[in-house]
Amino acid sequence: MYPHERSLVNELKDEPFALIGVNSDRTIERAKKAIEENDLNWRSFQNAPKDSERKISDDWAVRGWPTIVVLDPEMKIRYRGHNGEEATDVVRELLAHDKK
Amino acid sequence: MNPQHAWLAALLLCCPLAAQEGEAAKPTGADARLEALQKEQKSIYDSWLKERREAAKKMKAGGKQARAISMRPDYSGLRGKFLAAADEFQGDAPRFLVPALNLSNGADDYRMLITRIVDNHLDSPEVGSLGRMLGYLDRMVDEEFKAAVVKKVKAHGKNAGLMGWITFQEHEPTFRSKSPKSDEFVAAKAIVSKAVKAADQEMLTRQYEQLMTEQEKFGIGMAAPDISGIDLDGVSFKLSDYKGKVVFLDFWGDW
Repeated sequence: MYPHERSLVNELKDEPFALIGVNSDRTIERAKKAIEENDLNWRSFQNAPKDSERKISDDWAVRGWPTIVVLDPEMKIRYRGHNGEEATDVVRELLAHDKK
Repeated sequence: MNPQHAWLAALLLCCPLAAQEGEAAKPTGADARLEALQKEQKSIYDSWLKERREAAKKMKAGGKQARAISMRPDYSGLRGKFLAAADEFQGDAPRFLVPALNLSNGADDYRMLITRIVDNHLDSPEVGSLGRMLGYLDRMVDEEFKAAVVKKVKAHGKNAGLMGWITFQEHEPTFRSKSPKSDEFVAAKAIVSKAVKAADQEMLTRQYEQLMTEQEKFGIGMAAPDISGIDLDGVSFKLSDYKGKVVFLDFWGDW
């Protein structure tokens, strides 16, 4: 997954596109280590920051990892699932549509 | 012997015969065997669990692990006993074949047992609980086998449990890819809700209801809820900061 997402961010850096993570690692250190080792280039929410009562993944009814949700510019859901390539196809369609 | 006595004698002679014939189907025998096998399964599981816990405790205390503890209990012998009982109590065979299948490992075992069940026991409601497995049969055995099994169940058409699972599995892609407001979604929902109700399978009902709740909130075309949170450096931000862009929201972890 990492190489796919990393190259997507690089490829679409001049487009109206953002890859946002919701990170569920037990510690911030663990997540940061993964970011450093794999040269990850996107911003992530902490799924369950210290002292928070709720997890983002619970609010979003996420039960499997990874889960990917693609949002259009109006924040409407255009894809929800576990397949990074399918999600990327939806992203490309939305960006192409935007240019028309 | 007067005629009345002859009649009585005949009746008395018949009774033990009738009782014996009733015993051939052995309803109580099958019940008792099933109970004994379930008890045995529990005791295998309990002793495996105990062994694992003790090994973990020893490891924690710094000791060496005496021998490898398997990842799951060894049910290979018990599986054979369920199969033997299925042969012995033919009328109750599905009650033993279903647990034997759950204790099986490997494509050949799955293929053999599922074939036996769908070829002989589709009239038994007991086998309805196998429906969940049908969704994974392509991975457990292969795509071709899955298609053949589904075809047989549909041709038979009367096992409400299995039909409910198949109907759900066939429409799941529609639920996941279409807007909950679309005609296709609504039509699929009408079909599936009816089949799920008729199936009367607790796990199927739960899965279906969970998917509906999820899709009606997070399905295609629905407005995403905003997220307010902090990034890994502790800086606050919101998902809606990125409104106007296409967003790939990735629930990830490195565990």
